Amino acid sequence: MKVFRSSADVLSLNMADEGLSLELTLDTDPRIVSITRRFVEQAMEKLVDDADAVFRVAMAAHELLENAAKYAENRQACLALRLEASSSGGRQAVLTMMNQTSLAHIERLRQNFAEMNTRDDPYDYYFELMRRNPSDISVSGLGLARIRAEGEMKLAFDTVGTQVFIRATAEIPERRPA
Amino acid sequence: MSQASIPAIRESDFSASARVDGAKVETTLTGNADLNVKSQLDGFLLSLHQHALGDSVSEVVVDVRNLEFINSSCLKAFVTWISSVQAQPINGQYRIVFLSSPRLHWQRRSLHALSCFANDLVSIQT
Repeated sequence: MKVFRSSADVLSLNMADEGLSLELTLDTDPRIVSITRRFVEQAMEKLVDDADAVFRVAMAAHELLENAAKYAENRQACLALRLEASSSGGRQAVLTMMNQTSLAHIERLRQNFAEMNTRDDPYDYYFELMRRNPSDISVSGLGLARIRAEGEMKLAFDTVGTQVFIRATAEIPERRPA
Repeated sequence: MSQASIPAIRESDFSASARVDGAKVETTLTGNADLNVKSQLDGFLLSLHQHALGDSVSEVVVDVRNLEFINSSCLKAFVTWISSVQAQPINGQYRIVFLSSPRLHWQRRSLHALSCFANDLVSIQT
């Protein structure tokens, strides 16, 4: 981990509006992934009184960062997490993963998103992917579908050249009373 | 009860072991199942499956009550294992029972997904 702007213990000092905005520039060493997930979990626990929602966001952070660990070209990725007001009047957690990758991987992502967006039911699609080549242990292919199904998150994808951005958004239940 | 001929995994952040009790195998997974232990978990589940088929095991219990987290790659390892059991003739199949903990939030969602994937073979006990 090269840079961080806040630790879980001082998050309250960095609160603005809905409470949390952090950005981590990370080495894509696979050993960093679980460390980062635990950090996100601890950060969310300070501000969200719903352990299930905390799990959903931390799990998504893990899956996105692990994708970057596998496919980032320059061994560096940036993970941003914001807790913000949602259009429905509640709060939402927005995770954004940014990293450089190959054009071939961008094309695979584009195909994955195109297919996923034709499937209305996140769990049906998750099970469809589980049934697809179950004996192939070389690749999971489940990460994004898991975020969408188990994480109940909306996913979006964009690119600028070989820079890829994946955004996952989760609705967060009401905060605990002060 | 005896140690199964299934090599255990002992890593700093993850462990897996198995014990044989007659026609039942009891396995325990603890820690953090992520990309760092994926290949070892694949090997562990393959050994477990081969042992279960060779010894006509009727049930494998998987205790994940102290498994903090599992990533999608390791979840896929379970999908591969369960699919291998499904591919057996009915009389060669065995049941898979997950022992879960309500305090670990991944378990409700991920184990439910696995049980839906193979509800004829997989059950969850809390």
